[in-house]
Amino acid sequence: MATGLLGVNLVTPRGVVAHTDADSVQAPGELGEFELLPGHVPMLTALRPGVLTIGTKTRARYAVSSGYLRVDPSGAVEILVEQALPAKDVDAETAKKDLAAAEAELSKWSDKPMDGDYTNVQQRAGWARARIDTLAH
Amino acid sequence: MPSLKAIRTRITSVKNTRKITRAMKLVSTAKLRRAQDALIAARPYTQAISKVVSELGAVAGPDAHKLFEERPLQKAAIVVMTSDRGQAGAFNANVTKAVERYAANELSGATEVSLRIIGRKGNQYFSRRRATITSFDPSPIGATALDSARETANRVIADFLAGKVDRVFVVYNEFKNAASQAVRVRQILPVVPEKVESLVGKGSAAAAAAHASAAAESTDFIYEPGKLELLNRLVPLYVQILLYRAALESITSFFASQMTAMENATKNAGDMISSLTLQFNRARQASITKELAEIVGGAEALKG
Repeated sequence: MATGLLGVNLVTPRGVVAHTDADSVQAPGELGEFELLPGHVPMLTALRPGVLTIGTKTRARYAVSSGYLRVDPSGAVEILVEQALPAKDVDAETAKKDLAAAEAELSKWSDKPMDGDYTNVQQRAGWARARIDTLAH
Repeated sequence: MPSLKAIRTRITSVKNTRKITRAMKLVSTAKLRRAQDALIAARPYTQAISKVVSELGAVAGPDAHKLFEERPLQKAAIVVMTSDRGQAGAFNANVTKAVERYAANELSGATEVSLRIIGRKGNQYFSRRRATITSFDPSPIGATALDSARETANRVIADFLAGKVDRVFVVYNEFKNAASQAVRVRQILPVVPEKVESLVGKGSAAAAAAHASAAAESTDFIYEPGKLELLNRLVPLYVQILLYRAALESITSFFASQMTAMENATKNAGDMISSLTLQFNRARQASITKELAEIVGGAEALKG
């Protein structure tokens, strides 16, 4: 598809979150925010926790955690993330509380080994930050 | 022969038990349906990530990533998925037995087998037997299964990368249908790319063809960041989804076997009630007969 719309499919382990046609996608790439327009070449890129926006006219904002975005040779866009939450469902209070708890735990870590549990707390903080960022316009 | 009153009390108590088991059966039926929905909802994600990881693995080569690396078996870890509660027939016993059998047979060459236990029942069983337990978490419910899977995945990945374990398995009840569940043992680390294919559900010939076309197709792809960095990001997600699926299967199986167990209990209570009722009626009849005999005997005595 050189012109037209992107067929976007946003999928999480809990099910398909969004399945729409959109004129653009803004995603939090591993190397920085990027915008995807129709007619993009096939691509596979990693996403980090952040804000995903589908569409320019009707903007649908989602808080997403890590995953990937894949542009199929056919032009379809497959976005797989471990967690996705529409901006309207984000609860600012819970997100702030989660972030504070995770950051407090990280600051106390210092001499404990950087094992899987450390990654867990880091990811909890990242997901909380993504939800807070989704609310900021 | 127990007294009439004693039998009547027993009948009432068994009837109450039957009410409880019947209610529990209804509850687990409803929960089973929800758990099955979650299993179905996880399918598109599982298929997509399996495909991408196997594609990437094919392009980057099987030895490309540390989590694919096959090491000599010395230390093994088993993620044991059990439930927090019983009342579900042999649900937990099947898992704990399978873990012991697997550790004794297939893993007999290992110098150490450590357990990461999910579910209170498994913890009770293995801590009584003084097994090496690295971690214990209560059994997740549908809503927390994803978080639980992520945390377990990160832990076993960190252990694997640090060389603390060479193989990681997960043992869980697989849900076949409401009437039958089977225990499965599945290797999760090192990740075996071939198994990734089979999970998508194709025959081996079709899988090989898909593999070849995937390899050809992916040469035109832009990979951002590089393929290795992508694998670094995506393989943990793949491991997580394997554990998530196992947890969902386990939860679904739990409700299914609880449903069966409660149905049997309800039926047994019914049988018990009818045999007690029979006993009650006999006892009542016996006492009537006895009274009659006494009256007749008394009348005879007066006549004489």
